[in-house]
Amino acid sequence: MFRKFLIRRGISYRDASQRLRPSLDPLGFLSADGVGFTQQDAVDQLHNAVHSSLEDVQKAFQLVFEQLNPEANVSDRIILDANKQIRTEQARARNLVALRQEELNRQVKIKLENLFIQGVVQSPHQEPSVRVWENLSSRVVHRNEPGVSEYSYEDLGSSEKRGKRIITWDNETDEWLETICQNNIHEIITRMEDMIKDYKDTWVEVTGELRKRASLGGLLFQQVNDPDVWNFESEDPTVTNLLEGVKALDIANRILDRFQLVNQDIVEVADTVRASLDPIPVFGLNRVALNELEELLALAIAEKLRDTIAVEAGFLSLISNGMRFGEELGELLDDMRRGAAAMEEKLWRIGEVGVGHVDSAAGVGITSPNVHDFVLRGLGGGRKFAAVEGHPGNNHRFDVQMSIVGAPASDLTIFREMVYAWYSWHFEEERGAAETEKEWMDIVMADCWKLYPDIGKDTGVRNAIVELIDDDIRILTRGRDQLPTRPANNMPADLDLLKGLWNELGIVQVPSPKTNGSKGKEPLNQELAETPED
Amino acid sequence: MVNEVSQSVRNTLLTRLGTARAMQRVASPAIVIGLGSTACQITQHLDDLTSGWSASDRKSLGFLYLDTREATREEINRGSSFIGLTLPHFSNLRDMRPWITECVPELKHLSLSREGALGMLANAGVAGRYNYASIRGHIDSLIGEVCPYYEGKTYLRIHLVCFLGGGTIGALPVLLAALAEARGTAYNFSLVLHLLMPQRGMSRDPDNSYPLQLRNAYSIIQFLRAITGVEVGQGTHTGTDTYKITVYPEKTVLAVGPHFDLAIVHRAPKDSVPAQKAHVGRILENLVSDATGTGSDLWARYHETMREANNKTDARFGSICSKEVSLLDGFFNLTARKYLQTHWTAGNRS
Repeated sequence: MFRKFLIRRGISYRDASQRLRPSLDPLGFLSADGVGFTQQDAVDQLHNAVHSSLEDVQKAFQLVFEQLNPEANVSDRIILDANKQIRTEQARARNLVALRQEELNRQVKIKLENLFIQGVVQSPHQEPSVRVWENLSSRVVHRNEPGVSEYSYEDLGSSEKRGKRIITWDNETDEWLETICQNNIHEIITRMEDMIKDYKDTWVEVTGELRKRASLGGLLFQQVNDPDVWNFESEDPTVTNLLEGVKALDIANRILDRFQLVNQDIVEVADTVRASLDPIPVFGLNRVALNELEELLALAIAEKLRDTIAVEAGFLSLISNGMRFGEELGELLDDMRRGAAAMEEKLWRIGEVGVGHVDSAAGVGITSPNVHDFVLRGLGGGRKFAAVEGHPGNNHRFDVQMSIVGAPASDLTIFREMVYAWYSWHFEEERGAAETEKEWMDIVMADCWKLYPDIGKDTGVRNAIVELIDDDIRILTRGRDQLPTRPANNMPADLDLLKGLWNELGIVQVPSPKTNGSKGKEPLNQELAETPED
Repeated sequence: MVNEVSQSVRNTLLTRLGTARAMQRVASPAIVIGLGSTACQITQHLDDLTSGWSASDRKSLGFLYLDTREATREEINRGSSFIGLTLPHFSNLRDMRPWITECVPELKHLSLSREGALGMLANAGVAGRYNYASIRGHIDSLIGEVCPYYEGKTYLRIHLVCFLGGGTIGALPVLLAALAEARGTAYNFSLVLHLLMPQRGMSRDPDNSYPLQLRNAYSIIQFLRAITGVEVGQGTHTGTDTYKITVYPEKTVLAVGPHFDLAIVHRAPKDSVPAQKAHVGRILENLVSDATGTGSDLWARYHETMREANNKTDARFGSICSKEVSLLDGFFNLTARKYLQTHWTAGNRS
């Protein structure tokens, strides 16, 4: 009822509340599809974002005025505290708008960086769309903050005085709130214009350089059109690329013919690249290097490509070349099987040693009806493959695996080499030069701890290891692959020396050793032959 | 003035892209333990490979690094669990303690004043015993992390990677004893050993260090056979899968078997460290991704095969050989560049 007496001279928070429309994204005008926004729309969106942060303060002011209602009984305490409460709320308002300003500045930067990256991917030949917003600050004037009266107990003591002063106070705080709101908008827009200036300067430099790199003779042009570059190697030599050279280039072109980044993809690519770079800026001083930006964009787009070309989406038909594709795939898988078998043979002395083979081929995609036939035909070789399985995450991968479970360690190709190395140590260097059994025993006893992880008598694992080694040596001396023997030197035979050592260590009990030479091994072998467990 | 982005930016990008693909790879939680420098490099490689996996998969994976070289700590990811298998200065140790003499006749024989185990199994054996409490603590804490008990998860797989020819593998009996103790808690796990074979072509000094590697490999393979409980010869010291070790300060740990489920032997397809790292890393990646493809297949068939296996002694050694053809990342990357190039050329003005 007091409002009709007011003479409107300034701006009003309440009026702005009536006029502004809430929006979900206060920076919606800074998006690639934000074409329909006018400058006033942009200012209003920002205005609304700051305005809404002050709603609580405005309500708090109103509460103070309601408590001072001249028609009601008001306690002295409320009158005494009123001025203090107004000052407190003013301080709170300043903090709130400062926080909102900080947040909006950060969001503006993110939006602009995303727009920049989207523009680089999508329309590097066009003028940047953000130019529309480079003169927004002229629409919001920075004003001096109006004063808000300070009233004492005497000023508000009587209900008549209070009634008049509340109207004035209400008016003043309303104008003050709107002023700090608009001043903050002005600061946000000014900061945004600085960023847009950096954006535009960088845009000119970057897009110019991009055109140069991408045009005939440019670095990127050469790179993507040279078939020699389309050869890929993994550090793992058992992994090879399905496509190479001219064929790879040809397939890439075919993929790109049907590949389209939709707006949502571009938004995701831009946001991923920007977020990964944070806090390195995309434009302005100290920005990311162009080749690095290009690399990150390529990585992010590559992921989109990979998703697009799934087995289910016809990957096999895409890479197939001509009528023989099925046969070629079969031959390829057979070649892989032979490669895996060759690796097995480097590990194991005999081919079919395992208790069971666990073989599989994966990654071919179960939805393609012919693939199963290709695989089984290609793998061949009498192997029964367990499964041809889909590989949901790696649709572009053919993996042939051969596994062995339960092979004896003695079938390892390096098994004999290991035994010889262990055995020979006892007869090398000064140990081999010893002239008497005692001398040999002393040297070896002093050093043989170096061969085992521990040497505990009642604890540790050495004794069990030696007992197993003793067993290995018995088996080896029985077989065709004899252990090396040294010429006779009036010492017991090497094997007998070893037995003596273990006897001395208290691990394996054996009869007394014989001398080295032609007669040395016979009794041992005879003894071994008679050993029941052999 | 422009900035060069670092490898970490690329990794962040790959992680973000990987997280966006929400495919589940890990069905059973897993811990990968690297023992020794070579194994730590491979474990680190796997750690990096999996960094792009979804958050739930990453949550189900834990990595633990153990090495006698303190320098390895600098080479692995910050924040990873690393246990330096080192000893305090000799003057701070009392000689003739059981946990020392269980490995070396006298303290003066130890060579741990230098970096690494120097090819000596016993060096790592002593260091492992000294750090036993830390090993147990890290194992328990990692198990709790990847296998939250409150989520009802009590089963996991542990992959232990080690180079058979090195000296640090001398700590394997200690590590297995720690795992045996952990197995006695509320959790149950399968243990897969990944054993890297010595290769002459990869040895820095084929004439001198390669025989040493072979000797170490032989000792450890016999140790692994022994702890499967095989009985040979007079059977005085074999025939049981339980062993005892003494750890710092003077505790006897009874390591009760069975200790491992499968020992997979790996041979690098080429005599080079990067090839070994990538190859073994790939096979490990397949096994850890046990929700799909060859990973799930191996486990399904493994259990089938082990049920049928009647040779208890050696039934737990095995190998995996695989070949793969694929569209490598490089292909997609170059195709993406081709996409950019066509958009950036002047002829493509829109």
